Amino acid sequence: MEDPRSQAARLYRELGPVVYRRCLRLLGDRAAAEDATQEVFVKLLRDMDRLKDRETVLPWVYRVAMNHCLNLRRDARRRGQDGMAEDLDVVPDAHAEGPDAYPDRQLAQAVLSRFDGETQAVAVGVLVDGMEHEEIAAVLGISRRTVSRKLARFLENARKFIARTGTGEAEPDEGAVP
Amino acid sequence: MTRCASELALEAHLFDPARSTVRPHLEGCVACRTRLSRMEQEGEEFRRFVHPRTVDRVVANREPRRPAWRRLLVVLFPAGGLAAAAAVLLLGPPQPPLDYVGAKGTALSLRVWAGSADGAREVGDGERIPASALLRFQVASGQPCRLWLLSVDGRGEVSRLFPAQGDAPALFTGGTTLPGGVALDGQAGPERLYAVCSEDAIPLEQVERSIREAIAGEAGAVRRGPRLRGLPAGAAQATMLVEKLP
Repeated sequence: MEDPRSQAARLYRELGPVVYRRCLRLLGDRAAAEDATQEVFVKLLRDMDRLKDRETVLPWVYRVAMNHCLNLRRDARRRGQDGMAEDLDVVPDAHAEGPDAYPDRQLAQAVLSRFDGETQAVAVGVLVDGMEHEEIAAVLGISRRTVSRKLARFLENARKFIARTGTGEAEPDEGAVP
Repeated sequence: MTRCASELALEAHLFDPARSTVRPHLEGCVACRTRLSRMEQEGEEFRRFVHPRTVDRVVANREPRRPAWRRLLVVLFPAGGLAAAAAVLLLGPPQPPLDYVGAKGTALSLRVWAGSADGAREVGDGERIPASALLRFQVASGQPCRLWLLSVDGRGEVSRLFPAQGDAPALFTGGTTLPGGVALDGQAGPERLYAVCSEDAIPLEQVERSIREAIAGEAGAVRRGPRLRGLPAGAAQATMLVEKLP
């Protein structure tokens, strides 16, 4: 029988790449991704039973890693490290319909860190990771309708922000973090 | 051509190729194969370099670290000296005034009850209570929302009170006495309680961070009870202070 320590090490080796890729993608820096991966996995290992459930583990790991790294991005922005908050790579091929499907992806990146965590996760899931509304809804444990509503609100505020900038500030709005 | 695979779908493909739902698409999509190849490289990078140099630290830290003294003990009710308190609360403690709760929005109220030999009594804001008092909480909100209840002491130590477990706040409706309660840590000094309730789930870490930021850099901030910032718009908050006496 595998002892808990060996089991934890094995799970880290098996699922660590999922967390590392997520963090690398959201943070854009290998050292930061390595640190964040450790922090995320320490959290995940506190629910070992859930981590061992191969049927459900992946969306959970994905969500915990995404939330953690989005929080780090927000913290970085608050500290004035805007570089981290502006460098998300879009996935140009995530939709067969091409850029017409979501013409606001670049715009979305520019204002991402101004929004609350769940709205950020919705925006990243749909606009950056190319997830279906149903898919990100399942990952976040919210309804598809909520995804649509948050995304619409996000894009609306993003457009307002862009209309005022490059110099202005977005007006606080529902879902936007002051 | 089918729709390109999301990042999560590609992760599922790498995690369990035998059950992959994107294989047919991958065979015909160069862009997705390129993305998958990059993900495989990053995974290999993790296994070869990141895992070996971090695994010991991660595994060693997998148990939650607790202070040498356990600050607040979450207990179940009815139990011990608080059975009386629980009974009083269940029999119908005074409700928060109706006009306290906004007809619209998530206006939030927090009331604190302390157990004693004479039964439960409501604790006023800033009131002095024994440092080892047993507390229960009553919360009321104008609309359903997701609730966290945390506290911070004079040393800036933040404790999670409710819900005691899980990684999501508790869905909460109307006004209710929260299940469970806490036993204070026996350390004299201020203890400020923060209830935060919002339509959408706020990560615990975000609330903890908001509390730390609110009290950072100011002596006496815990007693003053600054409003938490950095929470999602529409998040309601309520706070109360108790002074723990030795």
